[in-house]
Amino acid sequence: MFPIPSRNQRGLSLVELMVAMALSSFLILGVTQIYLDNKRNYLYQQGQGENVENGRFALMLISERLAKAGYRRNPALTMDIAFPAQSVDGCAFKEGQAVIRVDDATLCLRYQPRDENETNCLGNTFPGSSDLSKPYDSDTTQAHFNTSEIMVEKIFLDGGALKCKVPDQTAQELVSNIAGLYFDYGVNSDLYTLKVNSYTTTPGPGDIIRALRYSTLLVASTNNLTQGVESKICSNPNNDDEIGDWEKLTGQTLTCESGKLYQMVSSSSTLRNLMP
Amino acid sequence: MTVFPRHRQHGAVLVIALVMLLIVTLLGVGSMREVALESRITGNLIEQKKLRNAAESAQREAERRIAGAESIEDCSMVSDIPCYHGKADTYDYDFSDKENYSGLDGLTTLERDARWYIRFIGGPYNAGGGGTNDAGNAGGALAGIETAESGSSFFYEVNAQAYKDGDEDDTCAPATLCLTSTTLLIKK
Repeated sequence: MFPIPSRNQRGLSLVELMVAMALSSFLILGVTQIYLDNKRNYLYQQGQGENVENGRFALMLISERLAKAGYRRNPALTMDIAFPAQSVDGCAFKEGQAVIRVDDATLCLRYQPRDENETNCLGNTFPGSSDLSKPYDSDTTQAHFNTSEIMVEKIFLDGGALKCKVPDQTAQELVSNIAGLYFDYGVNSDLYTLKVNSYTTTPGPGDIIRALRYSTLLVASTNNLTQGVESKICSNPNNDDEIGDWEKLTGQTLTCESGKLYQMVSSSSTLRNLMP
Repeated sequence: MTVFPRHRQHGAVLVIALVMLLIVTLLGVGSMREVALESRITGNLIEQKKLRNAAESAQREAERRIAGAESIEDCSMVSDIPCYHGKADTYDYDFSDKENYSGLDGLTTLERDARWYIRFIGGPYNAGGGGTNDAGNAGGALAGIETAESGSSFFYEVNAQAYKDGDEDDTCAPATLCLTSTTLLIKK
């Protein structure tokens, strides 16, 4: 007579075990896939967020700097008197010019300080010794602002970062992860006509810059985010017909590193001190 | 034969459940704090935008009023709008004598309150907008617009402040937003 198996001791049969393993391996495969997708999506969103944030910050910084350009302490002075010719840090300003282009990704601007707390792009206050105790320099009874103490800033792209340089100081990085910078200048040539005649990327030496359009190209710091899908911004180095959006806008060739996430942002400002 | 003390195991369920509940609660509270912080940041940005828009509206109103005026006198002598409150010789704001924003049509209202006042910078400067550093005419300028020759320019400072009702202050308090600009009137 066979022993009656006790209910409490019954083991797992082989069939049961294999069914369970088959089911659970499917389950684990699915869960792993979901996990990987989520992780990829998360990293992509992180990269996108990084680009958006850097882009906003870069545009805000540039427009804040440009808002200062051409400020003169005596509003009655004409630009050529308030801003005499000056050459510093590779920025050669002609008289009356407050913003100049140096090369594709370099811009110089200058302004007179409004008060003692005027800060330049590095956060330093006005270093000169002119008397800034009164807000305007229109009074004949006080010493006039010394035009050799005009504040000059150079904004440029170097080593994938937007940097700013002021005279006698080392350049500092303002925004990182920037692959390209592009300026388009609204100019006219008459100092007294407050109007933009045309937009050009290479203003001549006599042109007065009165408005700017600018674009920055951002690249996320993490690799392998695009999963083989290349952005529309990039040009294809193997096919001259496939021109990316960045090249269409700026004329600068852009060969993207594969797997890097790119984004371009643009904005424009009118230089309020140089326009009505 | 030993008797297995089954009753000693019963409390574990409660303890483990409580621990789990604690963890879940902590996670929940954490994410709620994060959401609250994010909403505060966003709210701050929105408030800044509203204030900036209101202040700019007030500033543009004052600038347009100056541009459209025949002449501008000191407010102590006339009651016309626009008029100016003394000479702009300090950096401090003083909104005690101000015009409330009404828009050029007198009917416009804003989401935040705004107000403005004007100060005199200098003038008259001859046509072409001065030219030398000594073009200033500090003494006689304050009462000169009626007698100045046509085409000469007068410069004014426009101060605008936007604030949420109750936060206003005669100076530029932290919860408000102040803007300053310079504009000119050319004598017709």
